Amino acid sequence: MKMHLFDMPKEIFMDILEHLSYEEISKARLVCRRFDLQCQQVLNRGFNKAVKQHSLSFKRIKALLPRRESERRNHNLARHADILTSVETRLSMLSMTYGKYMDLNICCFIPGRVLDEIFRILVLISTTNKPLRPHEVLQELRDISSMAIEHFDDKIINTLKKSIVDSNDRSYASSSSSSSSCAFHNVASTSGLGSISFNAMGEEISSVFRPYNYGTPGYMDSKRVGQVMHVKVLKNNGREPHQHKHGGTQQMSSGRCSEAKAAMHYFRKLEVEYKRGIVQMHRMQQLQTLQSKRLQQALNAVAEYKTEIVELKKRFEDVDAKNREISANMKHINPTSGDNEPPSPPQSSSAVPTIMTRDDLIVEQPTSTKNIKLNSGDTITKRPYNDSDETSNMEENNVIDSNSSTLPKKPKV
Amino acid sequence: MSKVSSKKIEAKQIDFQSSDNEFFNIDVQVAKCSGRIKTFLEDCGMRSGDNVIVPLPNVNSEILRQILNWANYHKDDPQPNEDDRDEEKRTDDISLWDAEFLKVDQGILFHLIMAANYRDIKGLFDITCQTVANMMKGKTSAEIRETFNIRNDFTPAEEEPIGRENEWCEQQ
Repeated sequence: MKMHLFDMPKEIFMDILEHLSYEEISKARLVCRRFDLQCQQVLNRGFNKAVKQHSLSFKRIKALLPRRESERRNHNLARHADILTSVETRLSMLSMTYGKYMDLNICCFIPGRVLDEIFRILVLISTTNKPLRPHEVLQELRDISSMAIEHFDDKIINTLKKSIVDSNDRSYASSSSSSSSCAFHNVASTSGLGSISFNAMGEEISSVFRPYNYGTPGYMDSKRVGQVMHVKVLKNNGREPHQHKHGGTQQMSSGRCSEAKAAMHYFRKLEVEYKRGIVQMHRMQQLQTLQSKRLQQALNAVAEYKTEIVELKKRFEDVDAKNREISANMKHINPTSGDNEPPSPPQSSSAVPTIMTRDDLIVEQPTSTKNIKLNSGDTITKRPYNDSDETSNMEENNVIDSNSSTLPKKPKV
Repeated sequence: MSKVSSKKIEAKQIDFQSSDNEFFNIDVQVAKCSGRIKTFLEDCGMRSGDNVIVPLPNVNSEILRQILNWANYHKDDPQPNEDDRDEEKRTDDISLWDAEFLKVDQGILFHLIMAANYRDIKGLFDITCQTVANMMKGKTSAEIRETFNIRNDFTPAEEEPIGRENEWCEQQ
């Protein structure tokens, strides 16, 4: 009578798991095979749910924002839209990293913690209308999603590729053994990642890629079998050695066996070419992933710079407005002054031309550093600039004028 | 025709028959906690004076008693909104009474989940699922195995890559 957790249907079990955080779900995969399988499904479903919820949220926010960009920039929800754009970028990066492996059912959406963070941001966006700070809100998501993607690229992806190649080899070995028996009518077919197998029915295929040795066939989800893509290999040599001419129970003669051997050689050649193609494809995919990552990073940086520019522009406008206000106030206080420069005292105004004249004189003289007279130089630098010394200034000016031919050219500062 | 429809669900009492042939006489309002029974009563057009017996072949008397106890306590609760289904599921909003009610053996808890799911009793289904989720929360995989008496059927070769996949958030 006592019921076990696994006696419940898997739908109910998944309902229970959905009450846990995605981080806990990703950790619970280690409990046992059934937990692993169900948790993988919940994680994949969670990622799809995040994408869906994000698009709904984005639509809602866009509908609330004004259509004019100038008005939109100053709107309360402008930051919400910026945050959702950044989340969209992260989602597409995650999708590029995990998506194809999820589609092939050789991997689930591993980083549950990233899903928790995405949902936290989406809930925050949907519950508050106050202006948010994008940097603060997005920092954790940026950090952990980058960590997850890097870890996947560095440590997981190689294992998955190896498992793909191994499964290809296994399926090829099984297919070649079945074809060498010459007992069935075979049609070659390949999966999206390169398994070549032969099947008596010509349509169905039994190989499913699994990253790990999950062991018993009962553990394998039957739904996954149908999801593997198959492509028939077209024979381009004109011969159809495996086709029944009379369609039925024709026995294989020794001549047919030699034909089968020739066909085997042909298929082996094809397999080698196919493997080369796969390697090239992987390289291209890696390059593509790298480039797309760089592009995304550049886009992020551009978006951030754009935000900063807008903020700086605002500040500049504020400062400009304040300056105008100050100048207006000054004009109001002193309407006679034409410009903003304070009026210079009469004494100094008389002194400045004296110096300028002196400078002009100095500039006009030919340069000669050897003939510098320290006395006259000392006189210039040490001369106190007081109105009471006007007479002495005049005398000194005379001295300078007389010695000006020996002064060096005024250094440019 | 209109008279019939106006007299629908006028029966005040209804009988449930458990799988072990025990009968439970309850208010219709209590019975309507179950979405399935509510639909059944509405579709059949029960009238006052009808002796309605609803057989429940999948539920034994012990589980049915627990369900009716819960339904009796929550009969005046507002109906859950359909839009709430997609909301974030929490595990910390179980009331004290419910928490006390669900301090039962694991087997009974799983039977309650099954019955609540089958009879479409959303409130009971949610809190029972939350209770089981709480039993997993914050525990390591070994502790979960111990709690639910689960055998680890992974080979070391299978276990290692799953552990490696989750390493990314443990790194500093």
